[in-house]
Amino acid sequence: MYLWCEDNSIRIINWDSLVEIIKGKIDSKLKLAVECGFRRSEYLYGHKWNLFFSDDEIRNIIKNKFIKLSEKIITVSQDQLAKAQIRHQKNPFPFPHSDLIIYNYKFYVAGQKGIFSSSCDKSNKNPVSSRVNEIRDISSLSIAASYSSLAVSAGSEGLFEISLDYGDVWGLEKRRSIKTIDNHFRQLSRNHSSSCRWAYHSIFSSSHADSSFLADFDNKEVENNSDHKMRTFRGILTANELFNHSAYSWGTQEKLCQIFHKKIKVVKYNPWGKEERFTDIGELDVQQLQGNIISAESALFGYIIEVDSGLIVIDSRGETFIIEGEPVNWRVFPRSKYYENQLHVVYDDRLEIYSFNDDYFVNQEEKLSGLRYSEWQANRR
Amino acid sequence: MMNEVEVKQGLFYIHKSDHRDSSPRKSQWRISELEERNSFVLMYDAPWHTNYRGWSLHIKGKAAHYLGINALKNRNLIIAKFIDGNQNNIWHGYPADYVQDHRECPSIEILTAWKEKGHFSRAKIRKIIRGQPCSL
Repeated sequence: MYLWCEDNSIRIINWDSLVEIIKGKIDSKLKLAVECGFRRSEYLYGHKWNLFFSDDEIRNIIKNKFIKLSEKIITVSQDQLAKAQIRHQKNPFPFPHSDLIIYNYKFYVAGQKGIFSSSCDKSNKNPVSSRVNEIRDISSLSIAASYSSLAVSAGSEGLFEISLDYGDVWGLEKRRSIKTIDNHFRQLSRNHSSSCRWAYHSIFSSSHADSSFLADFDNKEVENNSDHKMRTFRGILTANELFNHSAYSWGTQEKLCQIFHKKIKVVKYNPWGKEERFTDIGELDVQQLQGNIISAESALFGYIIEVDSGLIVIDSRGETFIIEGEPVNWRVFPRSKYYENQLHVVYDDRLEIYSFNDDYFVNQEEKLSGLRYSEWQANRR
Repeated sequence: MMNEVEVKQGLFYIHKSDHRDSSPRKSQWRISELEERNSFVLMYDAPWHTNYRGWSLHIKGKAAHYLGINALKNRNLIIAKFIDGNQNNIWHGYPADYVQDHRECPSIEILTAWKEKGHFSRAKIRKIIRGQPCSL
């Protein structure tokens, strides 16, 4: 775990050591729940458990372990945290940043001064290498990585994509509708973009100032080379076209969501579909929604919506969990392999770590809230 | 209509009417002209300006307060932007809508100064940096 400190340093914590400290504070009967809750989120997912979980008795035993663990608030002191610390190093990036991700053993940091990268492949003395590369000098609000590309939300400048591959990657795909700035940098839309997330090989852009939209792509085999696929731009679809209404929207993988009048409307996105690429699958009531929508994210365990007063989690059963208080920052890890169930919330004086574990018992194909667990995708990570 | 005031010796401030008369596509002040000038002087003295552009707040006590509304009149604004366009010590300003246009956002250095002075919490600074709405 990387903690970005205000004194422009980074504390690197050995997560396994931290979980061991947590384990030492709980009854040994709850160790399975701690392991799955904090270190092996993938363990109870998948078809292998279908028979096991179809037995109500076994299902209830496992559920009860998570319920009992959730009744206990576990606190890790500064001294204990220091014991789990691997290193405390200088932050080589501009700070505070607007967004930060890890992709292919590299950090990518976005902010007013541009987008920067540095390796974190454990080959250096410092876990975050001090050799920082400026990727682009574009002032940016949000970044997201997939398909060897960085999606970049640059506010009023629009939505961009930076290829992280070598060579003329878009040589075959220079369309008039996309402004190609150079071989590795293109503007997908001039529409305002506050934040971006990948929806399979497409990119969903959320906006606080204008209509949110999907930069819709195909991902097809290249002619005469069935081993190689290429993303080709289909076009921009606005929130109005996707949801029949314009309001704050966000999307990750198969779930495109919009908040309107205390409801979340969910559209299922199937980019491989020939006819039903977008299917309206229903609405969730969220009566607790009040004030500005600050941001929203999708995770396996549900949706997380930040409002003025704090966070609202709508879990994959459709139940609401409120986390009061304005956070300094927060993060979910839907693309991780082992931490998909976690929500980390930073406050002025502490970091709170929540683990949501009801999703193991929810039908992944039918759920309205949260992303579908896919063994195929999990194995790719 | 422009109303020019000498706020200090050799330093002038113009109140631009289009940020007070509901002109379309213009953010609107919701503080008095005197408060607008006070915000400007605060920026000038702090100093929260560089390259003839500066940012400031409407401060009561330690805390920042709303000072305007965006052009669409659906979002309160908390930051003022000031410009000396002709670089001749004659400035004007307007409520800055950093959500609509993130180039209206102050530099990290100015935001850090506001946090250290207690005008904004860390949470609000994060929202401003990310171009997110920020309620006071």
